[in-house]
Amino acid sequence: MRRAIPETKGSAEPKFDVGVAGPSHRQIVVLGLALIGAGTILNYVQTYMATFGQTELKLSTTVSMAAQLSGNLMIIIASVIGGIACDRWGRRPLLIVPAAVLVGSILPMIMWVDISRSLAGFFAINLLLGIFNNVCNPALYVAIAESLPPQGRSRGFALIYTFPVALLGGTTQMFVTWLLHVTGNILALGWYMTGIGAIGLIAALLLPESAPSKRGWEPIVTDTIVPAAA
Amino acid sequence: MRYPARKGLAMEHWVDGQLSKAQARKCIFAATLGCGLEFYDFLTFAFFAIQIGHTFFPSSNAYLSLMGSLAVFGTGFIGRPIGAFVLGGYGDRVGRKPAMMLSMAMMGMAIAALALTPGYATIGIAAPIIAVLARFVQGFALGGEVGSATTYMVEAGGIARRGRSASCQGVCQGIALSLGASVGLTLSALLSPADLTSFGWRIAFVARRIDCAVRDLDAPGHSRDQR
Repeated sequence: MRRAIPETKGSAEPKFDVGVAGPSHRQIVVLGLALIGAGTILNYVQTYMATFGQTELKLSTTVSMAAQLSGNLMIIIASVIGGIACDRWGRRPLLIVPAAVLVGSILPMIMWVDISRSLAGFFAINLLLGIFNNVCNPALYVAIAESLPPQGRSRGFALIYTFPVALLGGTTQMFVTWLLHVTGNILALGWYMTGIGAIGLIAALLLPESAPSKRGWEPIVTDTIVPAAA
Repeated sequence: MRYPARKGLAMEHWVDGQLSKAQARKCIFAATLGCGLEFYDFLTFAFFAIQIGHTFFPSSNAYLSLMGSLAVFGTGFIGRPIGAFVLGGYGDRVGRKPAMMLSMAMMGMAIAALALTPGYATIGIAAPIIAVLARFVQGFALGGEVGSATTYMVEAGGIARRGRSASCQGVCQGIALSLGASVGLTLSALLSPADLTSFGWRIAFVARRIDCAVRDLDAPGHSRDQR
């Protein structure tokens, strides 16, 4: 199927007005790594929450499975909403607001789950993470891709995305297991997630707006698009 | 033509040289589908880590077998940044499309190698070596895929619709996660543990190849002479 699609390398890029600066190269690399890293950690902690639900709350496999599938559905819905919203309002609001919500709400939610040990609390925290950790993703991907020059975009994006995922993907679950083993308290997990969320929030606040609609632009065609199936 | 800042950009602000909306939609769909399939492969491996460990690693000890399997899983993660650098660079030099095609072909080969290689009991030490190599190629392909496919989506969607097209990345991962888990659970429910270890996990990988072949034939606007 992919054989029939046209190439996009060299497609139209916006030319920005002088003085409306987007993220610099250094900013997008450092802050992009931090934002992807924070998102990755929260993602894996959420995966761990499923294990927590099974062992601590004694949930049946069916309930855990339902929670997982509804979580996946949430990824899809949140991504679509996030994509439309970041085209409308720019990338910054979509990066800042979800991170702020997570930082403010994770600890109280974890406390609630810890005290009540209820199914409602477990689902609520899954829903919270599912929505607010994924609604920012399109804005983040676009911000990184559009801030990189087209001639280095494919490799640049791949590296900024893959390094934190590869590094933290395997280690986060081990760290969380160790953390809970040492402290014996799920509140430690809440503090850890709040800290990671705060790093993401700071990175989001430091990243300048990159959306063309918010910076003022005129289109330039760098090259013609290769026609389909050429 | 000049577009002022702080003004909502609607679809009528289409730029010469960009893809039409219908074209863009088709292209993004193709990129999303491919991306989802690659994630499915990567996740299916994680789901069947224990069974794959039993098949390829010479151990009567289940723990050592699992560790071997996890080592293979780790190799996939090491392959990712290397693939990001090499295939990402290929996407910048040659094009996003060739990079996507290449990473898909590599992923397909790695999966076929893994699904078709006999276990340690049959071919000895070659089995774990092939498994580790296949996993490395798989990670390499996935690392390159993310860069070229996301770049492709962002560029194909049009300047005012970049967010919408990039959201397909999340959609494809969500679908792949659900599909991977469903196939895994269905096989676990239908087959006995012994059957699952001896051939069940291979079905999950082969199912994806058949599915992919069918979709390739059914692809709209994809006539024979275009190949």
